[in-house]
Amino acid sequence: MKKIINIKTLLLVLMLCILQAAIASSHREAPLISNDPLADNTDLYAFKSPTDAEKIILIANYIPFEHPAGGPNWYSFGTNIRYEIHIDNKTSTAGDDIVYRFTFQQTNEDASTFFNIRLGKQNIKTTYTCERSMDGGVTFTAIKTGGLVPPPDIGPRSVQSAVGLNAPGYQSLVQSAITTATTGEKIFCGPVDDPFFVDLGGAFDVGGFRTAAQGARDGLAKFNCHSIVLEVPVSTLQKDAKTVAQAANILDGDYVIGVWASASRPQMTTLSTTGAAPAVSGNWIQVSRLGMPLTNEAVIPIGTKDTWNGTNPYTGDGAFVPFFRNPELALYMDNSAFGGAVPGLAPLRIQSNSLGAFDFRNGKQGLWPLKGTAAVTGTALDDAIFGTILLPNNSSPRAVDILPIFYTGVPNLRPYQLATGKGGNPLAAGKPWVNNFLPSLSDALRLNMAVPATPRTDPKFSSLGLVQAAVLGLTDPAYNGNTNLQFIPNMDGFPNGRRLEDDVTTIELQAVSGVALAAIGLWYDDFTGGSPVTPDLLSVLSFNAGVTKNDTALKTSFPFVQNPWRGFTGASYAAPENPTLGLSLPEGSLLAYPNPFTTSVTFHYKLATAGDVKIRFSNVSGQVVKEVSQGTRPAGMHYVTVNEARLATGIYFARLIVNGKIYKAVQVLKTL
Amino acid sequence: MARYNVHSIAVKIPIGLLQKDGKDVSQAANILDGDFVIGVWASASRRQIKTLSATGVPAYSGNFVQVSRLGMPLTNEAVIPLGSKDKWNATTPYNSNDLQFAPFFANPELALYMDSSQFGGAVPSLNDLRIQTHSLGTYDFRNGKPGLFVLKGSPALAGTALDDAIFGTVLLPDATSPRAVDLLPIFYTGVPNLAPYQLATGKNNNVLAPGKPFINNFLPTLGDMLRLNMAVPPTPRNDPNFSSLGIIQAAVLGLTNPAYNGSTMLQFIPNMDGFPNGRRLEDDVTTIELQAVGGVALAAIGLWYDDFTGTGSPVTNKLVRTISFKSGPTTNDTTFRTSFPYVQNPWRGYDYTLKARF
Repeated sequence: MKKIINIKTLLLVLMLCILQAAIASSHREAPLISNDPLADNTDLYAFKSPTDAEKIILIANYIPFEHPAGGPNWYSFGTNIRYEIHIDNKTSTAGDDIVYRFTFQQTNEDASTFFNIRLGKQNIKTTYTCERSMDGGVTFTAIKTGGLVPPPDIGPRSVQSAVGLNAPGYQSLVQSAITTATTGEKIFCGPVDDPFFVDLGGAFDVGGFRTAAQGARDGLAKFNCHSIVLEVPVSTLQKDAKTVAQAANILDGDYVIGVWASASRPQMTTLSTTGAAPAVSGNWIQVSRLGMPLTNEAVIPIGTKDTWNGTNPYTGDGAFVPFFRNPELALYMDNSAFGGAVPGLAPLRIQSNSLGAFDFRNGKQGLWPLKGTAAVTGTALDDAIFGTILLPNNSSPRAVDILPIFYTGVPNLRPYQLATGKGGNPLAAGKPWVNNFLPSLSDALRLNMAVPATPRTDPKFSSLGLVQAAVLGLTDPAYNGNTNLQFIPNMDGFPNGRRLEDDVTTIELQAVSGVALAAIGLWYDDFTGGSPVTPDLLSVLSFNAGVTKNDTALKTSFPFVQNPWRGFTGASYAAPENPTLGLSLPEGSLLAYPNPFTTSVTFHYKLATAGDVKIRFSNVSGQVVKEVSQGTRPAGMHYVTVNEARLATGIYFARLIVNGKIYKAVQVLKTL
Repeated sequence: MARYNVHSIAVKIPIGLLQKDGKDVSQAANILDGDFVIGVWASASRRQIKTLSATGVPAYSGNFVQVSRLGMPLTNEAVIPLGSKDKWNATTPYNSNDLQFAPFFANPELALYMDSSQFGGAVPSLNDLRIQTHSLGTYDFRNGKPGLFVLKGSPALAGTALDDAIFGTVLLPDATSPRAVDLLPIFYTGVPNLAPYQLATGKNNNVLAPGKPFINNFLPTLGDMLRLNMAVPPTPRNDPNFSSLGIIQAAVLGLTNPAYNGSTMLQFIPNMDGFPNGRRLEDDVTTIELQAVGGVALAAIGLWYDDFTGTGSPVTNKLVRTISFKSGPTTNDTTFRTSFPYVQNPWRGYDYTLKARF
């Protein structure tokens, strides 16, 4: 009975999972940072490069909701901000091990114009310096200076034409901004399509989640943000400088990194009274940070959000532990709390009686009844091994799943293995699926760099990340026949790192409703001993947050994020070039004035040569309603005022007819 | 701006509170009574010093420092060059502070794009707008040209707004500030009901002769403000002559509509209450200002476009092209309310009616 699910159920699960989708991250998520968009860290990604097994891609995004046409002063990285990506790769040192720091400079190449780009000159032209610290932020070395940030993609005249930058296209500007640091990292900093996707209008209307059919809409569609993208060799990030080829296996615990990003500003800002740049001084103060997506958006309550942004995760995140042990979101997935008030989350209901014993609703005991029993000896729940983090007391049910996902990573150790092979005992050894354990007890995006990338073209690639890896490990005959360590597609997905495609909103909502507990064998309430893929589990797995993918394609190679949306699209209007319209045009010209008109309209027409002139009115159906004959007129400009008081109101076309040939037409509107 | 929201401060104020002597409209001498002109500007100020706590919580101290201001629309967007924009925001429009920016009005950058001898050829979307280069066979208003300065000191100017004895040298400062005669007063002083600032109607081709009154929002503080003559009646929004072209449309009506172009009498012409005499929510200020830079106000007072031959209708091809020019969108993406606060309710986050951005 190793195969725990029959094939029909498997197919159903897979079909439902294909329909899955997700939500977004950390845009304007706290009161203070919402007033400082340049420093607002909106998303963080860390994933194994799909093009090179020995490379990791780190992406930190800033500046939410950049309108593509948001000029005349488009957004760019701020000049008084330290943008940093922090990496923790071992427990033997406290805090960061590696820090990448970006600072930006701006110049105006032609301050005499109000245009951003004109005649080959670019204003607010931004360049950067990248410094790297390999000793946890004590000393920094510049590894790239004078790095180019591409200009905003304002439009074809600014980018491609001679009155602008005269570039072959925007892509050429992006390509020329990709650079390699002196230490081997590939770097790109610049405006991109915001890769995050979420139904913001639904999610934050008190949990008004809706399906695509109900009108879910990506609140970030067609908006840009600014990305810092790094491609770093695994051996640079691994604590002992080892390559992936040297890993013991694909879940080698020595290859786990914790990543978080931040933005800091000088402590003191003094405004000039004359409009000069503000003077800044003092220490650098962290004003935004991001590790796990949605932490500060949907876990930390509003009264604590600003504090969370200003907190060093290594020394300060202990204070926020209660919000993970009993998350607010769980109240909306619990019929005994506010569940009935949030119909958008109705498919998600937390286990209240898993295996007939365990209640994971807020304030309940969860796995606490197992505390100190012989059954947990040797497992992650054994105090002798991991202390009391996971089972702190009898009213912290999610300290066993949500807390480690966000704060320590998940070890490849009982009970954190898939139910496959457990024989109904969640504490038994099962099939390995994750090991991103790095117990700093702080919020970070934890990635096991030894895990291979799932090709984006793999039919099993899924935006549900580890949730989908669990589904495959439980139900796919290719993986559910034994407890051997195997690569299961999407083991490289969120929350083992985060790929651009990962639907973290859906994954996290499913996780809060207990899907990770179910994956390790703590089944939903309606499990009665048959297939654990019960209606409750299917309901959770079938749920999605409404928008499940980005609104445009990602790139298949570095920097993976897509070029920004262009401010100007569509046909450019060009008025006739000769300002003395018609003088050089043999067919003549016709203008109507005033237009719209009420009683009479004056036509101005110009003839290149003499001719017999008529002005013919027709309605929108093409019927001729009036014709004014002018007789033979000489070359030159002529005027005729026509009284049209008797015509009904509406749109008409007036045509200039010379010698029986129609030359010009203008649309005129008669109003009351 | 379609489907975006902003935050408004809307105030409805009795004219008796705003008028310098506490008078109400019924006490005005006429609809262009110069005692009823106000200049309006708005600003935002912050405390000078901001200090972040160790966890990023700011404390504020010091004097309030002006960080944003707005009087006339688009001044800091399309008149002031990049290198001076921040300074413009920090400057109050009084105490002659704004005179440092006057050169940007006397020779506006935008005019370069409406001048075939400059960058005009590089901006085809503005081809319809070409500034007078030899209006009435004489006057060249392109950047760097003399404009009306050739009249400086002439007896013909006596008693007009261009007479140094009356208004000093603001309007005709030198031989290379052609737009000090139209754009600068529109933005900095308002326009008096005085020759030559009257419609060409009745001038018999003499631009300096008295014409038909169409505006008086003269309040010569020499600072950027939105100037409104409160004595001018509103044009009903359902009047068929109501136009988002504001004063430009009033000028068109005053020049071409038989109801108004028969005499130089002061009459209410629809849209005399429109931009740049104040600014209504409906006013298409982008189009109006582009047309103004294109010389339309000069044409309105009789400084016709180059293709006017001295006889026949002054409503020439070039004038028609100028007043037919539109800058694209000409109306808001939703209706306005017909009563206070006039601005429309915000778009709703959850289910606002979608409009394809592109």
